[in-house]
Amino acid sequence: MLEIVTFSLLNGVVYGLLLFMVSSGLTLIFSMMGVLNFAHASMFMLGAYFSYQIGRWIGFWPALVIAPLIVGMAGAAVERFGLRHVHRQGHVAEILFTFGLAYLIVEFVVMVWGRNPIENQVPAAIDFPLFTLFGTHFPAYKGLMMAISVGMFAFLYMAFKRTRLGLIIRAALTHPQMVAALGHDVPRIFVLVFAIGSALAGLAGVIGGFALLTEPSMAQALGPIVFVVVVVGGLGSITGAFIASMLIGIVQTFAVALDYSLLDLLRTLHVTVAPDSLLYEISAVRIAQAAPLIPYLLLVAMLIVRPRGLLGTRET
Amino acid sequence: MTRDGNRDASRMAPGAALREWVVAHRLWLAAAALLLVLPFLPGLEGDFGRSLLSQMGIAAVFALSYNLLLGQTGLLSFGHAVYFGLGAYAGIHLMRAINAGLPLPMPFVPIAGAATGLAFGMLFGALTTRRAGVVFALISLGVGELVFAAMRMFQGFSGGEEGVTANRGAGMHFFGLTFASQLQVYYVIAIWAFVATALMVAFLHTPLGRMCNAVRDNPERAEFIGYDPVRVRFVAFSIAAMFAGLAGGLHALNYEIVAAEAVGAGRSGAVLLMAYIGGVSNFLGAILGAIVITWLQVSLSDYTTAWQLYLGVFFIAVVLFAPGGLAGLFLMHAPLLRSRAWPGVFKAYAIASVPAVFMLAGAVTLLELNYRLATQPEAGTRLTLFGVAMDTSTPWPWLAASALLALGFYVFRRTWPRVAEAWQQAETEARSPSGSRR
Amino acid sequence: MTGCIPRPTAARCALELHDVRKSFGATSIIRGVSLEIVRGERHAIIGPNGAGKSTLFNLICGRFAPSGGSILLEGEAITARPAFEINRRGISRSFQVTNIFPRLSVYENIRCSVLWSLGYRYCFWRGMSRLRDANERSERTLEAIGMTARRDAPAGVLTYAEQRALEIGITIAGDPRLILLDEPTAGMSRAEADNAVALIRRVSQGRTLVMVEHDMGVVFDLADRISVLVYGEIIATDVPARIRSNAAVQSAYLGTAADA
Repeated sequence: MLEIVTFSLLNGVVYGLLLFMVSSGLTLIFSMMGVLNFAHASMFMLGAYFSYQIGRWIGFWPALVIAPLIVGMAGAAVERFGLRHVHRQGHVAEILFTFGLAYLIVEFVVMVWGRNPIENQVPAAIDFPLFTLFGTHFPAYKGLMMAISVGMFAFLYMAFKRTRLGLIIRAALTHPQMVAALGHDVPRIFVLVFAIGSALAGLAGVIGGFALLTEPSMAQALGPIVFVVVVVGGLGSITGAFIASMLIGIVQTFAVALDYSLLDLLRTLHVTVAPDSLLYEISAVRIAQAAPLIPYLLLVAMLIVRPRGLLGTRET
Repeated sequence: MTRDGNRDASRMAPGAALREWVVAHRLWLAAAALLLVLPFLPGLEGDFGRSLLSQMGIAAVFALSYNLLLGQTGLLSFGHAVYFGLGAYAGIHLMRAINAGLPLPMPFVPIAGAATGLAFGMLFGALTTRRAGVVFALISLGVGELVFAAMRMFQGFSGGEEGVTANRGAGMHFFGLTFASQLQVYYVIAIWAFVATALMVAFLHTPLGRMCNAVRDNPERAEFIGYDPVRVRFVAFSIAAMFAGLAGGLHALNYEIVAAEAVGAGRSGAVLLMAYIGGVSNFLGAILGAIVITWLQVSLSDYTTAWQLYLGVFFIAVVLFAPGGLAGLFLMHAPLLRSRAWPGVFKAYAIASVPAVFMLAGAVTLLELNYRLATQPEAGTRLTLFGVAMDTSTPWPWLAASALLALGFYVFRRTWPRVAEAWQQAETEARSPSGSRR
Repeated sequence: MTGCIPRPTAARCALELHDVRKSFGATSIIRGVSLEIVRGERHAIIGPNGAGKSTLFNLICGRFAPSGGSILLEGEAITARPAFEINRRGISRSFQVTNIFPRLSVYENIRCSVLWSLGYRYCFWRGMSRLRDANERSERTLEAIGMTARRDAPAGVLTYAEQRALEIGITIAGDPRLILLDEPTAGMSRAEADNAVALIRRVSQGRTLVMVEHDMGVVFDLADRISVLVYGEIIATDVPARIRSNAAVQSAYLGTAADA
């Protein structure tokens, strides 16, 4: 029992930190520019693929630095040459543009690396057990992932609260027009924000590509959950995104470990349900099976009850 | 197709009243005639052609329902397939019941789809229409993922990824028709599509329909003329969901199988694509988008494995350069055609299209070469494109394609000022008295 | 200080404000406004910028809820009710920054505004062309604001003055008992303002009108009574002649050599 709880907690924390890594950049972009960047998870995917390629050509540690840079530049290009022309058409057009872009990035990946998952092996440098718990190894790359994730949080937190740029961004969260009126080069700030956000996603991809299968559909698998994190955490709040990621990560991991269903509960209460009825089918669902639903239930509930999220500063 | 104007038909002779009615509804009658005749036109007569028409019909109803939501009421939804798919499931289960002996003719199956769409639309709508804009879009995304995951979980109802099947031909005979042939299915779909379109257009000309437009344009002002925008959105949402469910029922009838992908994000994305590419602000755009995208999906995949990429590029191009969609492009050129000032502009287009074609040929070649290399290594390195045989392992196709692309783009750019000039001229001509009199 | 001559009874008051207050966070905008608007009168609210005139309108018609006090429409409380409910009870307002439906035609803008008042509510089973009363009322409103020639133009492409006229049209189309006009002649030339005044005089016949205005010519031309709002408080309510000569008002707003 203790073993299950410990591992669930540990894995939940790891998963939560992975989620935070991927969504931290989106928090920045969504909060600052109001753009629901559907292509954010695609940047994550690009980071994984680029680091794989660079890792094969040069090595892992250079890839850890170069891949995020490339993805960041790609993000800057997207904003400068694409998204910028769409801002004046309103948020709907922006969303649709990133929606189409996500599509295109998947096809680009397919075009270069093919449709099958690639052999993204954990490099030898970080492929050793960090420690052993209850007889199971805890791999070092997961430790690196946790370290990078916490580092991202610290970086973003400090950047938001302590730097001048962070001050401008925080002001722009609640009063974007006023910030522009005060003379800040908002378009250039947008490019910077988009680039940093994408680079963060790319960095997450470098490490996350080992934890998840690196294939063209990885963006679509992770994309919606990343939105859930940002929305539940709240617009404009890095801490909120952190809390939301940990919440979802831990709850979902625990749920997967729970192999009980409503039917089991009814049985212990000596209530019998006819095997062919709809009620049977609904109650026979095990919590582990329903685990993927949890983030979306949380999203819908949060949006109905408190659209600004846990720690958000404004609604849209 | 406007029907404004109060005419007192009862005061006219019956013959004149009928003539009056025919003239007022001539476009509808023409459309009905076209639908009747389409499956016999050359190129569309075989089963393939009729199947294509059926698919277009289903897509058109679905896209129209989405237009009602986005174009008319301003609600961007990423989960509209939920109502389509649930309607499809209701349809297929009803078909199975008919197969098992329920005495209901097959053409009535889509009603179950519509009813299911309406029920779930009201259920989810009550929860989600309190907010608009980005928040609404996100909720729709969440609901979509929820329902998709639920469908994959409740295998007994949904058949999971493999789906539920039924037999369209094994039911009560309807005036001697068995619906085993694609032609009969086409007519059922065509009739439903016509009815659905007529109803949706009629809806737009009712008080609530007008208020949907008002709420889209300025929800705050709508409050100050007495309307609760939330209530308006709720009713519009429910009606849009009903028609999406109707399309789902038609889908069940046509394909005889419904699987979890019917409620999935891919299908929600597809209808968004159709409505937007066609043109989101008027309902003709939705129909146009449905036709074009369905045709592309069906035929393009025969020519190339990269068709999804082309679709994506097409979509982005529309978002960036033609936000009014194809319908918007037509409308933009309509005053030009009316004023007879079009020759200059079209000549400029013709000149600009030459380098554009070369540029596109180069781009497509590069993409196809890449795709062949990356995704179909087993097919070898030789392929034939535009009638030219090439080998991906040799450098010259790559070089030639890159050169075409670069050169084509460069020259194409040089023609843009010409096109702009031609437009300027056409506009001034159209405004001057001599121009409009021609 | 409120004073009508003679003092209005409850039955004669179209709108009453009792000690209405509004603060945004720590900032007090409206600090205890009490006002009684007589039925059928044309009442102007004037005051320097930032006095809170638009905020007062927003409180009356439900855009914000007051932080304190109460508002009554012909004796019924409408404090903090949703805006659409207040509109349904017969208050209609225009906006200082034109707030129309840009993609609808001028005619459609007006027609949408008459729908609720004629009882059509959320009806989706009757075609617009058959709604004779809605179409007739819309035509009459169009004529009243002089926009019949532009009836099919999309509202977004109208000139500024045309949009202001449409703004007033939307406000009066629903036949409201009480009309609130927020700076109806803002940004207009002398000639356009004169037209607007004539229009306002016409459409406010038999109805109660409250307007916020900066143009003193318009105010003294139209108003039966004037209230002066300064820093969220009413410093005077009276007939124009006495307002003009009121010392407090002069020092706060009009200026001592008042020859408005």
